[in-house]
Amino acid sequence: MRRATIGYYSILAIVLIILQVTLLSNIALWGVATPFLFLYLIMKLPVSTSPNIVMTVAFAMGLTIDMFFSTPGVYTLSSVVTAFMRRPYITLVLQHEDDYGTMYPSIRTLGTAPFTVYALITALTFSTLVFIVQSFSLYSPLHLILKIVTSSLFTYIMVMCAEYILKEKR
Amino acid sequence: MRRLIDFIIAHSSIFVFVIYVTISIILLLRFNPYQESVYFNSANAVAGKYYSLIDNITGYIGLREINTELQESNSELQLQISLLKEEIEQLSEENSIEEFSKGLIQKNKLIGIARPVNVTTTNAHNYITINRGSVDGIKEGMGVINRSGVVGIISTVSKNYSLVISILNPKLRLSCKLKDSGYFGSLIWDGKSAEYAILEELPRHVKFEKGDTIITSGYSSVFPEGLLIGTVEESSRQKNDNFNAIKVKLSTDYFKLGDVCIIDNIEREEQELLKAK
Repeated sequence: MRRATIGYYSILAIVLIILQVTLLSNIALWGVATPFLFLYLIMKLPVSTSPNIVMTVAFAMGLTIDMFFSTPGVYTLSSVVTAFMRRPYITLVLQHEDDYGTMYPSIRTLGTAPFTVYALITALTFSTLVFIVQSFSLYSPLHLILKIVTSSLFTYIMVMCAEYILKEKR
Repeated sequence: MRRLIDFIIAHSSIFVFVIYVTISIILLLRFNPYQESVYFNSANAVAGKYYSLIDNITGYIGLREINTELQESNSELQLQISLLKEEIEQLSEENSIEEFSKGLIQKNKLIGIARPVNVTTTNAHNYITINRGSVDGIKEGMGVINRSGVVGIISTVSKNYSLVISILNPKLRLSCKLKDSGYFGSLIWDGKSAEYAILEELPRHVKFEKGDTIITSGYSSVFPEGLLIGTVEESSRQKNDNFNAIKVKLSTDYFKLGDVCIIDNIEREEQELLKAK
């Protein structure tokens, strides 16, 4: 990775964590839907990035967010597993195996439909994990499923917004 | 040996994954709000500072409403003071000073007033961070209340900040009773809405109506008897045939908490010493 790229991702990471901690995690639309926009960084790392680096980034972000919410392990575990699943998901939606190189996933490089699938399954993986890990002691499967589905959709909408806003700069 | 190293390098991502997941699970399972795990929760210095900063900015929102509420409660209190003064005058003439001082010795004392710097309501386990810590004499297990009722219990204390385990947290069970009939049960949050909680383990024959008041029972060493919890909303799900469960509308509004009071039971230390023996 070039130095400018590392700088860009660091700033993006800080902005996303601040947004997540201050604003987004306190949102619960209709009492259920919470957006997890910080996943955007994990989604956007270049395709060629080693899974070890992706998991390390996810681990650090999860730990930071956990620290702010007094929920040690919840976000960390969920984001590490999501990061681990990134490679299979990319392979699933990538159409041309040959342009694997320095490409980073976006609407432009993947196409709208494949990127939608990629963003949605990433968000769904994370939401499922985070709500199941959190609700060890709760018992209402319907409420849980509602939370997972709405939060994934909300995360997807926010990711698409971020994608649109950041399109011009990169 | 060489083949083993080659194998590890070839499958390094699996090993990294296993290591990270193990660390996360250790964090997840070891965390107990009553342990001193100050570094991994929002009572630590970094998160505390950050939340204070944000609170300084957003603290002005909603001040007008809080102001009106304060003025209302102020005038109410002044009214009470005048009534009490009259009563004291009457009593001091009638009774001896000894009996009067007995009434003043109460079980609970006020430790201080604190401002919540972070309140979560959307997690499955919710906590509140307040800007008072061990420097201000706060200890674990003290009660936290505000103008409208019970807020939670102090769980972790750092130098300048404390973590409060709120009613909106299934790890907290509170002994409560119906004000009118005196029957008691145990209040627990069902993880759904920040406005409601469930009062469980209420005997089946107990009659109640919508709007009945629910108060603390005084059976725990944290809260004195008679603090407001909320009102009966409706009869809720029943897990066991012998017991009722009531959906309770909480009197505390976690979306605009305002300043909170920390109270301590004077007899708590004595009770705990007794337990230690």
